[in-house]
Amino acid sequence: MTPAYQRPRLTPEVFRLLRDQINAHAGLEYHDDALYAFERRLSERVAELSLDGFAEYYQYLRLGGGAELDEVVDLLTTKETYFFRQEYQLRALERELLPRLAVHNARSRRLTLWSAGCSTGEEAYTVAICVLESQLFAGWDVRVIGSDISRRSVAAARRGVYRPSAFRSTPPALRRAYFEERPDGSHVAEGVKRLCHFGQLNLLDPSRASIVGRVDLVLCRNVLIYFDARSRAKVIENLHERLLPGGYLLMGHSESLWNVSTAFELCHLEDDLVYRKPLVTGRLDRPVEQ
Amino acid sequence: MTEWSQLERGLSAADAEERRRAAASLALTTGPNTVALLVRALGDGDWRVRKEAVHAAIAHAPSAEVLGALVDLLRPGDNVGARNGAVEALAGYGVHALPALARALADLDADGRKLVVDVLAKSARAEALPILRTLVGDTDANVRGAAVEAVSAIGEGCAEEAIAILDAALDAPGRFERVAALHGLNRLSATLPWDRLEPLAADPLLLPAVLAAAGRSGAEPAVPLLIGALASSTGRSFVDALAALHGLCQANTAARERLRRELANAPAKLADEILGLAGDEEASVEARRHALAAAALLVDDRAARAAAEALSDDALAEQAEAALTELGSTAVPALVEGARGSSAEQRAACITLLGPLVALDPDANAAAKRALGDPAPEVVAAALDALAQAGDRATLADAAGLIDASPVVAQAAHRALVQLARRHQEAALVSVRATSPGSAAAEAAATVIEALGRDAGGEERWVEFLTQALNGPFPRVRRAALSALATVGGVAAEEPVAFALTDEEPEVRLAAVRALGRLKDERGAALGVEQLLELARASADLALVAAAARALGEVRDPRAVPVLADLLSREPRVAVAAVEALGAFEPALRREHLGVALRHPDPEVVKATLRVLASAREAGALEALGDCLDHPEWDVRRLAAELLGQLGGDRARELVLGRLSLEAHDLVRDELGRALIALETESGRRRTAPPPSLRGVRRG
Repeated sequence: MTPAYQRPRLTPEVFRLLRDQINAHAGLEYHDDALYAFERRLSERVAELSLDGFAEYYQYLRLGGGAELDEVVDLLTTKETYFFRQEYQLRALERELLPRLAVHNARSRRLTLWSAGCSTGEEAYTVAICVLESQLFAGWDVRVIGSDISRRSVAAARRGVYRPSAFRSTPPALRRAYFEERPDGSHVAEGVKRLCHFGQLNLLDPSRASIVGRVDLVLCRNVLIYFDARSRAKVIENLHERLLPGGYLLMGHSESLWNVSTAFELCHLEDDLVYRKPLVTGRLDRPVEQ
Repeated sequence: MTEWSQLERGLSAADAEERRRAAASLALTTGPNTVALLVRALGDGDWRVRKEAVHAAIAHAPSAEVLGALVDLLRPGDNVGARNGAVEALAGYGVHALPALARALADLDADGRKLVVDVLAKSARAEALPILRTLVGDTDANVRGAAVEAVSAIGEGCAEEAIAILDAALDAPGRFERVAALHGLNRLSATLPWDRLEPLAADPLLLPAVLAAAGRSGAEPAVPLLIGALASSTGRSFVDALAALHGLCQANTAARERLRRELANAPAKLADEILGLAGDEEASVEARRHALAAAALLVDDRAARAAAEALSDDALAEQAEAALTELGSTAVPALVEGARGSSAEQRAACITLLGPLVALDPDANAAAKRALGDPAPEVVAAALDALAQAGDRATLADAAGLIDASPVVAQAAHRALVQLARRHQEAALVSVRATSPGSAAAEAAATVIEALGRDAGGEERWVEFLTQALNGPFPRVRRAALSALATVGGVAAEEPVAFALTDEEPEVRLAAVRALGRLKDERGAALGVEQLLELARASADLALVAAAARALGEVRDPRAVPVLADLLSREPRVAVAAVEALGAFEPALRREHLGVALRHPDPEVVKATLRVLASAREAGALEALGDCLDHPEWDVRRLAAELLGQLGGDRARELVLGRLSLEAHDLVRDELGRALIALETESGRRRTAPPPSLRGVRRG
């Protein structure tokens, strides 16, 4: 009989070593309660590499260079999400922000929205659907950029094929209008896909972030929670740099720029509070020192 | 008991092993009796003792005393073993023995002088040639013959001097000296004019060597003689004559045509014999190669069949291909038949050879189309290459359908698609319009768009299509789309190409970098320079930095020079790319930076720098190469030697010669030798092809 697979155990000491190394590589912060998640998500990699446990894996990461660290980040950060998450915020986007941008950008007829930390693409496609539903941008040059640090997530976003669980908050009419049901899952319609462009980006890396170009609005929801304070400030600085004056930053409902940056101004909407890059910036406010 | 009496007792022992040990210890002892004991040991009845004594005698080099005793042993005497041992030991003395040997010649008998020749041949020193020149004119025929052979044996390293001696020996009174001289000249690959060879051809003893020399020298007047020799010879002589014919074919086109004419008029039996040998599986590979070369001159479908069969044999395939190419349309039926053979290599080779005929010959065309369904990828690839020039519209779809097959087929499909799209533009564009940018088929569509370039018209539409393809799930499609955008995109493609730098697949990111390097606006101005500079300066991805450096080299924007210079101290792969990129700039802009790269700790960076310096033949290249002849890494020294050989000139020769006397690494010594040959050939000092051991030298 084949012996049952025994997962290698991750000791607290080795967990701390791994955690610090990942933090140094990608700025991601994990607390002690992430030990189990580490063990569960990385144990298969330890087995694949025929290593004798996590201590050896740590050595391999230390000496093996960035490629394996990217793999680790991939494994730790790939997460399932769903369409039309945080509906109240999307309502604000559709009813208030997109109309404002339609007016603001009427001359250029160009709109660029960035889902920073897009995971497997649900958020970016959701935003694209919102744009189409608003019917404000017909004939415009519209780009919805989705970026994530995880290679696997970006590849999945490109495929644009989803399981039923991704639609738990999607109005059925929108699902019918913008997805095509096939045996392997629900495929994002071509008209939506055409607006979306996906890339692999570490939000901490300003040179890579600059590739995105200037954007009108950034959704960076439930992403900063994975970063330590210093990295969080750096990410916000990079997002600020990418936003056009008057551009908006939308964060998760439990996130704020409190103690992170004073470079944005608060913008009160009917359904939400969002941040905005001031139209005229005398100087770039430095992130708040921790 | 003294050491000497112990040694004497040892050398007198009945037990050979005890005598051998005593002889061995003579290598380490010095004293008044050493010479006498060495001589005694050299004359021992047991070969193991004599062998040990030879080593001991050599260990005393360059002792004049031991040398004198060894030379004395060449004088008349009964002990053959001692004389042979002396020859071995004197050869081991090398150049140190030469003056003593030269002096001894005056009072040595013929046997002694013959032994001197043996010593010189064994020592294989170019410095021995003046003595051998004297001995080639010796009064004794045996000495003269041996001297001629010795000259050819040691002539490889000093070919010009050796050839001069051997050339003179062709006029020697003795037939055997002339035979030895001509064989020596053949061995050294000397080229000889026909008027020098013709008088020798009358001697049947010399004829095979004359034919070989004539073949190598490309002497057309030798053709009738060669055909006559083929018709009248058998066995090894027949093969030798075929070898001469093969050499003549390669050396002189006019001679090949004359051979073809003369063979057509030769008795049918001769053709049968040539074809028989070409197809004889029991014959040696060498003989069959020569026979295939001769068969190619016969307009005979049997020759084509023999060659087509030989395609399946790795050792003969190259010659068989050459023969089939030479046979031209005569070979078609045999090739069509061979394309159905059991060996995939043979089928692929037959289809490749049919390639140029696909447009002209329906059978060749049908065979190539059939081969598209072959189970072996190399056969399908060959068929795609064959049909690329002459395929119809349906082939366009075939090629498109194979573009995502295994790498070898995919590459051929890509090549075919490019050519076919240009020939069937309208059909190609119809297929593109019917393709979804998110599908796998978009790779072929992107390839077509790139192939047609701006000729395709509707650039805006194609940029839109290709930008959409960049969003698709297939990395191959995204790469093809980037390449096409670089060709047709212009300003509109700048943003999507730059964004592809964030692609999750490394090969797509690299394709984006390359596309940035190629992207130009309507006036031909490079669009991606800023992005490339930023990547080179700031990216942590070494592969991207290296690719950006290379792309900057292609763009040749002067702003790149300081950025590339900064990369010279980076990791080897980045530094090598920076060196190669700098190579594209004007020497004045890069000279100082390349000097820095020459000091990089990684030898690959140094080698890349040497290649750049040498390829531009810029000032300072010779001295940099000369400095690198002393580099601690042997592969750097070897490359420096090779490049000096390519650069040419007296200074290069001086540097190579200077290093040759110091170099200890075998491979570097070989390269220095090749370089020297190249330099001497180039300067006209040498009138030979490179000697066999040094063939394959690359020339700049």
